[in-house]
Amino acid sequence: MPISWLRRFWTPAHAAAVVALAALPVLLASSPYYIFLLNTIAVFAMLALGLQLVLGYGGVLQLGYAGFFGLGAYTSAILSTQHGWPFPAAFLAAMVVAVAGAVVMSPIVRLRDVNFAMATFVFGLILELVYNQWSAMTNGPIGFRGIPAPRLFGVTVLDPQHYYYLLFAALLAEYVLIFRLLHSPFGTALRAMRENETACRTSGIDVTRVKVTLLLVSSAIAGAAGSLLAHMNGFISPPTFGWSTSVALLMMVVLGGVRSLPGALVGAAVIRLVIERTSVLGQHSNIVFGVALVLFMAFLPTGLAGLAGGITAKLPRPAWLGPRSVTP
Amino acid sequence: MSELLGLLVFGLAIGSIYSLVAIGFSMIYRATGLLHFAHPDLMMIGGMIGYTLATRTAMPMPLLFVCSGLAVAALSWLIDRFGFRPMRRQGALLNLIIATIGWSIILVNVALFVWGTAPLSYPEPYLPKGRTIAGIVIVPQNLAMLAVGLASMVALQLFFARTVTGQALRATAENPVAAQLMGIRVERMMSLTFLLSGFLAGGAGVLVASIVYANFDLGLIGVKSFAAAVLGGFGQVGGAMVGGLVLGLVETIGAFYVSSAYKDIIAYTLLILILLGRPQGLLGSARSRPD
Amino acid sequence: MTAPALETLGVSKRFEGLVAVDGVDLAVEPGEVRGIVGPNGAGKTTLFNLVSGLYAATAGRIRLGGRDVTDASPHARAAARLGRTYQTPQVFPELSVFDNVAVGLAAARPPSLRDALAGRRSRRREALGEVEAALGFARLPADLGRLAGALSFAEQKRLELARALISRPAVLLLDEPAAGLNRAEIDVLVALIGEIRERGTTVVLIEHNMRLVMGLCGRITVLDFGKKIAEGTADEVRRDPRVIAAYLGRSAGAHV
Repeated sequence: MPISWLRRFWTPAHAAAVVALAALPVLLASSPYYIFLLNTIAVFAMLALGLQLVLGYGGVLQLGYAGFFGLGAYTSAILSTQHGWPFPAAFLAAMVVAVAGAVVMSPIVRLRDVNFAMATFVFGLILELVYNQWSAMTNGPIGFRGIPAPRLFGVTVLDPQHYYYLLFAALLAEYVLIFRLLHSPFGTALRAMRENETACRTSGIDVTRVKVTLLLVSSAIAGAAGSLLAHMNGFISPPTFGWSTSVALLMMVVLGGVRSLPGALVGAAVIRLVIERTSVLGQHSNIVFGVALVLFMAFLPTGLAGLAGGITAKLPRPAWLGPRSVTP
Repeated sequence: MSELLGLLVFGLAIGSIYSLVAIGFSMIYRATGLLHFAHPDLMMIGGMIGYTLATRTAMPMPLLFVCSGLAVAALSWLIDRFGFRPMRRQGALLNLIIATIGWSIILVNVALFVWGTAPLSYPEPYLPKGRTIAGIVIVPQNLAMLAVGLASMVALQLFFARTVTGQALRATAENPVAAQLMGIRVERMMSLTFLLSGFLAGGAGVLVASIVYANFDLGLIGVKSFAAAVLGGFGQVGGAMVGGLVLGLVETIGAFYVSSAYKDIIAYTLLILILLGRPQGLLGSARSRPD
Repeated sequence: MTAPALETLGVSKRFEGLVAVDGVDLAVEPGEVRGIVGPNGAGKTTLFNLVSGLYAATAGRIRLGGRDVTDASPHARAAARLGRTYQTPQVFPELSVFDNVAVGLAAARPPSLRDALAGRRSRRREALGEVEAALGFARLPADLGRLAGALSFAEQKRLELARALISRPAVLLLDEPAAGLNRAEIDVLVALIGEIRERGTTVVLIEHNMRLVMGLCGRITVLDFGKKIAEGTADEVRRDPRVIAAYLGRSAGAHV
C-alpha cells in the first residue's frame, strides 16, 4: 500500500521545521534589521529551491536564473506602479511573464549540455542588459522606485513581520509543490534521466519535454519571488538580477547540496548571511565566493547536505539522492 | 567609403582579439569538455600584467605581447594543474564548470586588489594613433592587432597540422580515450592546451588593454569570445577564428549603423539564434549524433 | 493483409565516411521471432539504434505496424509500442527495482506535471500492481526496494526486460539477450521469449549464440558490413554459402 506523499511530507522533522520557522519572527520581533534579513533570506530561499529543482534535480544547466527573477520583479513593479494593477494581479502577471521568457528560451533545450549552458548564461546577460538599457520601461541603472506595498484581502501588508508570513506561505507552498512533484512519476523520471537518458528515451520519456517543464516551473517560481521582492523593498535595480546574483544562487544550491531541498534553504540562509557580513570587506567580499566555490567543488561536491548524510551513509555514493519511492 | 574601410579594419581587429580568446576557449573545450568561465579573465590579467610591464619597462609591443602571454600561460597552467586536474578524477563536469566560475571571481578580485578599480591607460607610446594615408584614416594599432591575430592563427594552424605535438593535441581533443590508447600522454596534452590557450589569452589581453584600458572587468569583453567560439562552431579552432572575426565585424558595423548601446544585445541575440538555427556553428559539420 | 509489425525500407546510416548500415530491407510479421545475426561490426546494433530512433537514418524509411516512424523521436516510438533492451543492461543503478520498472510505464503514460500534482492514490496502486506483474513475468523476486545496482548481471538483464515489457510492446528489440548468461539462465531466457511471443509481442533479437537463434527464431536475417546478405529459415541460412563465407572470412582473421 503506497504511502501517500502527504504523509511522507509531514514527518516529525518537517513538522518541527515548519513550526520553528513560523515562530521565527516572533523571536526576532525586537530587531527590524533581523526581520528584514529574514525576509530577504526567504525570497532567496524561494529562488534557491527553484534552482535546485531545475539544476539540482533536473540537471538543466540554468545559468541565467537571476534574469527571470528580474522579469518577475520588473513586471510586478511596472504593472502596479504605472498601471495601477492590484498586487494579486501583478503577482500573477509576474509569473506569467517569467514563464513567457522561459518559453522564448525553451528551444535551446535540445542543445547539447555545453551549448545549452552557454545559451542560458547569455540569455541571463541579455536580460541584465535589457534591464539596464531599456530605461523607458525599467528606469535603467538608477532603479525603479515607488513600488507599493501589497494589498491582500483588504489589508495593506506594511509591517515586515506580516510580510514574513506572506513570504513564508509562498515558500511553504512552493516547497510542498516541489516535494509533491519529486514524489511522483515525474520525479522518478527526473532521477532516471540523471542516470541514463538513453534508456529513458527508449522507455517512452520525452526528455526534452521534461526539461522544458522544469525550465517553465522554475521560471514561474523566479517570477513569483521577483514580485515578492519588489513589493517588499519598494525599490529594485538591475544589479540584483544579473550574473553575480546567478552565481550567488548557484552557490546556494552547491553549498546546501545538490538535490537536497532542505539543503537549498540552508544554502540560501548561509549565503545571504555571508553576503550581508562580508559587504564589510567592500569590493573584495566577492573573493570569498570564488574561493568557496572552488573549494566546495573540489572537496565537498555534495555540499552540507552531503556532509550530513555522509555521516550515516557509506562513500562514495552521493549521500542525498532525493526521495526514494520505496513502496512498503 | 573610407569610413566603411575604417570600420572594417577595426571590426576585423577587435574580431581578431575575440578570435584569440575564442581559440583558447575552444581548445580547452575540445580537449577537456570544460566550459572555462575564467578564460576571459585570464585575458584581463594579461592586460593588467601588460600594463605593469609597459609602465615599468617600456619594452616594445611585440615583446609585451609575448611576456604577458607567457605569464598568463603559466597562470593558466597552474590553475589547471592544481585546480582542475585533481578534480578530473572525480568525474562530474558540472562541478568543474562551477569551479571555473569560482576561479573567474578569484581572478577578478585579485586584479581589483592588485591594480585597484580605476581603469588604467597604457603609456603614450602604446596607444593607438590614427594616420591618414591616401585619404583613409588608418590606425596602425588596429592593423597590428589584425596582423598579430592572423599571424597567431596561421601559426596555430601550422602547428596543429604539421607538427607531431600539434597533431597529438588535436587527437586528444578529438577523442581523449582513443588518444590515450594510442600512447599519447593525455594529461600532458591537456596541460599543453591550457598553456597555449593561456598564452593566446594573455597576448590578446595586452592588445585589448592597449586600445581600451586595463581594468578588472575586461573579462566582459572576453565573454563575447564565447559567442565567437560558438558562432564558428564550438570546439572547432578554425571556426573560433572565423567566428571571432565575424563577431567583430557584426558588432562594429552594428554599433555604428544601428545603436552602440544595444550592440552587446545584438551580439548575444545573434549568438542564441545561431545556437538554435545552426548549433554546429558556421563552420561545424552537421553530425547526427547518437543521443 | 496486415502490415508488418516492423519494417525497414532501404534504411542506411552513414557516419562521416563510414557506412554502418547500407540499404537494409527488413519486414518482420506480427508474432514472429526474428533473429538478426552477423559477424561483429556487421551493423546489427546500429540497425537497432536506427529502429528505436537513437540514430537518424541517412536514408530509407522505418515503419511500425504500418505507421511511418522514420522522423519520430525515440519516446514517440516507445509510445507506438516499441520496446528495447541493450547489449549491456541499461538499468538505473541508484534507483530501486520498483522505480526501474515503473519508468517503463512512461511509454503508455508519459510523466506529466498535471498528473504529478493531481495524481490519485489509485493510480499508484495500479502502478504497483503492474510492476509486480512485470517482475513476476520476468522471473524476478518482487524485492521492490532493492537498488538496481545491487543486482547481479543476469538479474539486471531481466530487470531491463521487465521495464521493456511492462507497457505491453507490440515489437520488442532484444540486443544480445543471452550475452553473459550461463546455461541455466539461458534456458530461462528461452522460456521467457516463448511466453513473450505467446502474449502477442513480435520479437526481434540480435544474438551470437547460434544454438539459441536456430532454436528460437522462425526466420533469420544475416547482416555483414551493413548489408543484408541472407534471410530465411534457420536451415536455409545455415546452408547459405554467402553466410558461411562471411563467418569463415571473419573468423579466419583477427577476432574483432
